[in-house]
Amino acid sequence: MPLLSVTGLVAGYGGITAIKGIDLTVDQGEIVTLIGSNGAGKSTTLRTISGLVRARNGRVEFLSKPIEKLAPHKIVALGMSHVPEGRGIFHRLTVLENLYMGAFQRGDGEIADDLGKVISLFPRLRERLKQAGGTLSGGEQQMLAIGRAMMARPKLLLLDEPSMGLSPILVQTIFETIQSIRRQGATILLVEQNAAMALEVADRAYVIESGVITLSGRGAELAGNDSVRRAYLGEG
Amino acid sequence: MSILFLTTPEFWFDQIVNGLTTGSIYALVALGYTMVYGVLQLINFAHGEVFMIGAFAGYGVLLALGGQDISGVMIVVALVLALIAAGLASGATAIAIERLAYRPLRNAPRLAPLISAIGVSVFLSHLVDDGFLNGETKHYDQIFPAGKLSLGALNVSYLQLFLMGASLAMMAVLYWIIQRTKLGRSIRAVAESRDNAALMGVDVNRAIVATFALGAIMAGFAGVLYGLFFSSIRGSMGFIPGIKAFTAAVLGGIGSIPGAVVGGYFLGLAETVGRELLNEIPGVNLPNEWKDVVAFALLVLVLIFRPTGIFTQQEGKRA
Amino acid sequence: MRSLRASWGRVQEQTWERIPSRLRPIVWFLIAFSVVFINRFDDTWMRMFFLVGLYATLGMGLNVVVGMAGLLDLGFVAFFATGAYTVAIFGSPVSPHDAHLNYWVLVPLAIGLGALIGVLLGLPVLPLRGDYLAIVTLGFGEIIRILALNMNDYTRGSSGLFEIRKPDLGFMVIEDVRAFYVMILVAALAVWFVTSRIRDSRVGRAWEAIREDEDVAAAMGINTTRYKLMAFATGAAVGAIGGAIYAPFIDFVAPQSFSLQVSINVLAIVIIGGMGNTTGVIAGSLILIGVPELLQFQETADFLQKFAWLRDVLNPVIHGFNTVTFLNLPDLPQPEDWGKKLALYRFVVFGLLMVIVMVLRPMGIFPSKRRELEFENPPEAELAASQGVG
Repeated sequence: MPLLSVTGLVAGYGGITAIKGIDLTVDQGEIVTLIGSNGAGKSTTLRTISGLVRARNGRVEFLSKPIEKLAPHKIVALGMSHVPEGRGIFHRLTVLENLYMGAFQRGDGEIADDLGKVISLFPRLRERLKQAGGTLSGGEQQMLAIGRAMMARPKLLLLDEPSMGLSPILVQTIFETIQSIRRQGATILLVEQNAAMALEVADRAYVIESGVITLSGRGAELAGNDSVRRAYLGEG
Repeated sequence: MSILFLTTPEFWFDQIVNGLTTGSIYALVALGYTMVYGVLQLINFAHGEVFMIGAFAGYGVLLALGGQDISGVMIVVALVLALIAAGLASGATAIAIERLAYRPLRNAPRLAPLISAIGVSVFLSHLVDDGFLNGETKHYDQIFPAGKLSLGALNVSYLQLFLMGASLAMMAVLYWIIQRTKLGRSIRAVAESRDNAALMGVDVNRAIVATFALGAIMAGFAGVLYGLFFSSIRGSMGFIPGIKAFTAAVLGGIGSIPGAVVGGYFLGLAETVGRELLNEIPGVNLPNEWKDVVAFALLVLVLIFRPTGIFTQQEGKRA
Repeated sequence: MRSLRASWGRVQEQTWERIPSRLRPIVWFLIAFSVVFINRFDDTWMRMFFLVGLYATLGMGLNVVVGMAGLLDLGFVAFFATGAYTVAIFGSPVSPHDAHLNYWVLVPLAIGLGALIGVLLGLPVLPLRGDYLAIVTLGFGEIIRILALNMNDYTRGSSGLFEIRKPDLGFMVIEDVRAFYVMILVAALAVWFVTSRIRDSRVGRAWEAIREDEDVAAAMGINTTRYKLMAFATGAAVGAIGGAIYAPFIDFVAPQSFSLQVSINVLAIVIIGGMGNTTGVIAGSLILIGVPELLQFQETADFLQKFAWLRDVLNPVIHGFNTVTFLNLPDLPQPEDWGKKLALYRFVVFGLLMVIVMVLRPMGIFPSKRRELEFENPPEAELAASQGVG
């Protein structure tokens, strides 16, 4: 039984249908990546799964429950965390408040422990806890966004373009973090334009073009596929 | 400027106290405007009527507890009950308005919720005036002990002291809720981005309702304080204080909670002290009604020159 | 870009054909009515028809601002008052500043002053977001009343101005309520003609673009501030025309006539009738102004007498209800007073209707075909926004 299973998902904005029948699954403990060019429907797929965009057709099952009609906060409560494109940091809230926002749905007594874990994973955030989120650099904001998502103790983490706008060294760090999060038992659905990096860390991958899945397979397999190499890995 | 010495320091002290008293009321009402604007970018035109409902709820409680005959420790009990009733009545009114008149229009063209808001305002003020009171004006019972605190030649009435102190305490509690509680954090998060707040697991509708309710409770308190101080209340009483409180919110930078408070006191002082200062100029004699003109002129001037408010750093126009 | 322009042309053609043909029967009816039936009604009825015509005219003016350009003006009374006071201050022997000017000289002055005040008021706020305009106009509508009350040297304060010189046509002087009715009818037709011409012109299309999405309009190269100002000034000028006709009709110009209520009346007519649409404004005026006046007529009171039995039935029910609950509801009033009571609650009804119309029928009760089409196929930007958290 997959952790997340998406069947025939259709969604869009206004007269535009951005995704036209997406099928994908994510199993417990996997890193699955969704790659594709700009405007292919990657972000819309994630936004529909997490409830920000209403599905027009199709099913989304998470932990075997249909969630395509649930409000976003109810989906968060089930254990899904979505780090949106642009990171979604609250600029006027402090770093610490941002981290607490991540644990918004939790009522248990271990929030403080998890806060300690996140800070030890991202020591850069420690000295900035009282600072407003908007004052952080791009890389720090990405760390905060991932750390904040982990505060929810998610069963499934959706990451939208974590490498966007970051220097190559920072991209390296972020991807190392993603792998270490997985080692701690998290399941990740990763959307990336940086296909090379994404295919390197992913167990499985899907290629999306104009709102349709055109290819899928093991990460290494796709990295070796000729058309993928031409279209997404910038090789002739 | 030598003309200033024709009036005594006591006169100016009184003006300042009066300005701070009305300013307290403006500040309390302004909080509701600024919070709702911060979260929904909507001018809640019915907020003045929410304030009016609070004034009447407090009036009803005082009347039920014996009106003019309330004395001794019962005064404290009556005031507390009147404030609680006002907060509840105003809060419930605002929640109903949000649910029925604003939420269905949340994604409608921009003009629709504004028109709906003005409709609610017209409905409520005339329902009270024409439906229940037949145009009558009601008067708060003067239960508050007369008398004043004197420091040499300077006097402050107990009522004014109470007004200033109580409103400061209420605003402090609100500030604590917004800054220090989980609810407050969720409201601030929704104000920044509804989508991102939802992704954190915030029930956006609940946070919006809470914003309306908190602002309305402050307005309800302000209604009781207004009744105690000015005595006359009627259905249309919310109109002018509503516009002034909105002006205060704009002065302080709409969306900013501390700004609304500072803007409220500033406007209160500008109306009293400012008008008297202008009257010191030979040949100028502004009657009391010109208070409203002063407030309005301030609103227009601020909108022209500093649309983000006079106490804020210019972050770029919100326009 | 070319196809966009072509489709604009089509929309324009269709509306040109559709709107006049839709309105033509109303126009003919009004003219026939005023000629044939005008002597069948007594003065009370004619006064009602005059008021309906006046508010329809004011409504068409505000419709330019709210319906066509999408700017919420909550202080329309200010321009109405400007027109009335211009005619009264310079055209009444009791005025301290009587200029002994002919009424027909004062009308263009009133229109010009109305437009000027519109521009002066709009200039600071129109470059900002629309919401600010709403609150500034709301405040200004009240300020103009305070000014009128306090500027005794011009307005005589609450004592008001009267004996205003009547419009003289040379062969007759407009004094009788019937003559005033014909006058407002002519004014209404003129305003309708001018505003509908402007709407179908380049200016009207610019307004429509601004109303639908100001940012997009600005990106298309429309000087939004200038066009918003034009809409605002046009509306203000029409408001002043209404005031200039109202002043000699009522022959008493005083601050108490220029309350917030006037603005609410006009706004409710535009909103409830249907934004952006002249037929709706006329229908709105008939219902919102005509019906409350009608309810206060003696004929209505006489008619309601027939329902006295309803009182005998319902009063025991109220008494029973009062004994069960703590409420102390009053008895039903005498049937002949029902009409007047209902008329008293008109603003309660208006407020409620404004909310209901916005929530259930945002294009008004009598929508124009064009706006209906827009609401059925909203622009993509709006739909995209509606996909958010609901």
